[in-house]
Amino acid sequence: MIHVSGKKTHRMNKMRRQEALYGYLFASPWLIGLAVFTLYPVLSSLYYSFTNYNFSQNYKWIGLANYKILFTSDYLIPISAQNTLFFALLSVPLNLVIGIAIAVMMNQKIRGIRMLRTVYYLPNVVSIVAVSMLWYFIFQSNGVLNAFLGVFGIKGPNWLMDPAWAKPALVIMNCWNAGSTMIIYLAGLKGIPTSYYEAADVDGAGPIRKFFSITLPLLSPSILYNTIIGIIGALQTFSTALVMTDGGPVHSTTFYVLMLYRRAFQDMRMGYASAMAWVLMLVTFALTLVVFRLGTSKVHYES
Amino acid sequence: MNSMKKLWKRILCLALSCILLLSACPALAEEEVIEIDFWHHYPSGTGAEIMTEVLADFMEKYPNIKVNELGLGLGEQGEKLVPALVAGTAPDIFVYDLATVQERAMKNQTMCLDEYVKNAGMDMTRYFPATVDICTYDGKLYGMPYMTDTRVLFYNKDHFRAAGLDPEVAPKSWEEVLEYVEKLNITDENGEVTQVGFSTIWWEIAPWTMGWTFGADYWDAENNPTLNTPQMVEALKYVIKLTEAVGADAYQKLFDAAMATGISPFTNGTASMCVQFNGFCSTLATYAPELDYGVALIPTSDGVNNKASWGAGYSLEFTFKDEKRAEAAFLLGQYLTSTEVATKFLLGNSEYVCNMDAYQDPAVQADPVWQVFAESGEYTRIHHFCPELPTWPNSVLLPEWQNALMGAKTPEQAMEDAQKNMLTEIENYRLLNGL
Repeated sequence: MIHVSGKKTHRMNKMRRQEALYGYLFASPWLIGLAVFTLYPVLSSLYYSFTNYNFSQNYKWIGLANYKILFTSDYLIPISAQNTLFFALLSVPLNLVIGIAIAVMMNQKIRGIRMLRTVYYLPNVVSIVAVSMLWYFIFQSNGVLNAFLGVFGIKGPNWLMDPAWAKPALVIMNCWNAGSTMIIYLAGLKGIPTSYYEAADVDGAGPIRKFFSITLPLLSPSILYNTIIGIIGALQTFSTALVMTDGGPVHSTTFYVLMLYRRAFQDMRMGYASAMAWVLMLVTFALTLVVFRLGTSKVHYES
Repeated sequence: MNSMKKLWKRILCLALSCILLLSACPALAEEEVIEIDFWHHYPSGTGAEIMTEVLADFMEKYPNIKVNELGLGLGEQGEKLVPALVAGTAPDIFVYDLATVQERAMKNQTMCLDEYVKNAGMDMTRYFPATVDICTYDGKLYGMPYMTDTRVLFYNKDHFRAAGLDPEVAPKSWEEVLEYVEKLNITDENGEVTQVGFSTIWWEIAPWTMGWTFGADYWDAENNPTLNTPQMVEALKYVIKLTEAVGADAYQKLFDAAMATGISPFTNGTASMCVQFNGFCSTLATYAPELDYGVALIPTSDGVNNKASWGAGYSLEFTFKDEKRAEAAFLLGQYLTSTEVATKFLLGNSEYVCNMDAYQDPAVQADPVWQVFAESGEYTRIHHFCPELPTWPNSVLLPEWQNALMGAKTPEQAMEDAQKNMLTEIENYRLLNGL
C-alpha cells in the first residue's frame, strides 16, 4: 500500500486510539463495577463521616464532630479497641506458628498427604455460622474442651460466659482457620530448592538447624505476607463474635468492627460509623506500613 | 378544492372524536381501580394462607381496590424496607417493628393517621394501651397496633403436686417464688441438681421486666433516663438472691443443656417455672404434648402492685403516594385490625393480636391460658423509644446488669454506671445532631 508518511502516523494514531477505546470497552464491566460498587461507596463513606447521616434524607455537614466524639467521649471505643488489640496480638502470632507447623507437616512425602491437606483446609470452606455453632458446643462449661482439660485435672472455665475467657476462646477458635495461611506457606515451602537441604545434609546439619537456617529465612516472604493479611483480618474480626457471643458477656468480645456495625445499623448512626471505618482504615494502613518497614529488612528474597 | 379538503378534514375529525367518545363511555361508567402495595410478615405457612384469604375477602368487599401483597421473612423486612423508605419507594402499607414506629415518624418516612382515624371514627381504646402509646409520636398516631406478644409465668403442675403445692395457685410475689423454689429444687445423692424451681433461662424474663415488677421505671416524664432507681437495685439484688438459691452452677448446666439440644429446661421437665412469651404454648404442644402446665401473670415485688410484662410486635404503617391510594391503604389497615380479621388470625394461627375485642370470642374465652394472655396484655409494656439510642435496653442496661450478676460490681455501682453510660450516649447523640 502506498501511504504518505505523515498520513500514516495520523492513521496509526487513529488506530491506536481505537484500540485503546476497545481496550477500555472490554475492561469496562470491571471498571464500571469498580467505580459503582467500590469507589463510590468508599468515597461516599468518607463524605458521610463528616455528616450525621442516619438513613434519612435530612442530614447535615457536622465537620469533625464524629471524629471528636470517637476520640474523646464514646466510652465503648477504648473498650472495643482494647478487645481488638488483644485479639490481634494473640491470634496473629499464634496463627503464624500453627500455620507454619501444619505446612511443614503437610510438606512430607507420605501416603494420603493430599487428603490431609484438604482436611486442614476444610474449615475455611465451611460457613462461619456453622463453625461458630460447632465451637459453641466445644466451649460449653461441660463441653468437649473442658472434658479434655478435665483429663489433666484442670477445671476449665465457662469459656463464653466469662468475660475473662471469652476473648481467649475466640482466639483459640480462630486457630482453626490456620488452613488458609497453611496453603501459602506450603507454596513457599515448595519453592525452596532441595539442593539447599542436600548441601546442609552434606555439612551434617540436623533437622532443627535446617529449619531455622534454610526453611525459615526462605519462607520469610510468605511470613511477611501472612502477617500483614493476618493483622488486617484480626482488626476486622466480626462474625464469630456476632454469632457466638453477640459482643458479650459485658462487652468483653465487642470488637471494633462489631461495634461499628451496631453503631451503623442498630443505633442508626451511619455518619459516625463511617468515621469509625476511616479511623480503622488509617490504623490498619499505619500498622501495615510499620510491619512492612520492619519486615523488609528481615525478609530474604531468593532472587 | 381547498375548501373541500377542509370540509373533509372536519368531518373526519368529528367522526374520529365521536368514535373516541363512544369507546370511552363504558370506561367512565366503571369505577377506577386503585392499586396499592402491601408488604406483610408472612413469607409462607398458615399465616400466609390466612393473609391471602383475608386480602381476597377485602378485595371482594372493595372491588375498586387491588392489593399487591408481598410476604417478607424476618430478616428481609428491614433489608427491603429501610432502603425503600429512604428512597421513597416503600409500599403504601406495610407491617414492621412496633417498637420503632416513632423512629420512622421522626424521620418523616411514614404518614400521620390522625385525620383518617377521626374520619373513620375508629375506636383506638380497643387496642392494648401500650401498643397505641408506642405508635404515638409527638401526640400524633403514626402506626396501627397490629400484632404483639406478652410474657407470662409458665409452671409445671406435676412438679407442684409432687412438692405438695396447689397446682392451681401460682406464686404472686417474688418472695413467694423463693419459697416455691426451695420446695421445688431437687438435688440427687451426688449433689447434682436435677430439678430447679425457677429458671431465668433464655432471657425471656429480661432485666427490664424484673425492674418493672419492682416498680422501676427507666424514663421520667421529661424522657430523661432513670436507670439507677432504688427499685432497680432492689430487683437486681433479688435476682442475685434467686440465683444463689438455685445455684449458679446448676443454672449454667441447665443453660448449656438447653443450648445444646435447643430444648428449654421447662420443656424437658428440669425446670418447674419459667417466664416465656405466649408463643411458647405451641413449642410445648410440639415438644412436650404431655406436659401439664399452667400460666399466670409474672410475679411482682409485693404480689399486688407493679404488675408488668414485656412485649414487642408488629405495627401497620403507611406511606403517602396520593390521596386515593392513602385512603385505600387505610381502609385495608382498618380491615386488618378489625375484630373480625384479628379473631381469624388469633384462632387460625395463634397470633397475639393487639385488638382486645378479639379475645371476647367464645373459643378464646373458654381457654384459660388465652385468658391469662389477654389479661397480661393489659400490663404489658414496650420499650420506651429513645431516639438517641433505640437499642438502650441491650446496649446499656444489660451489660451492667450482667456485671452485677457476676459480682464484678455491686448492684448500686452497676446501675449507677448504666445511668452514666446512658447519659453519655444521649450527650453524644445531641452533639452529633446539633441539639
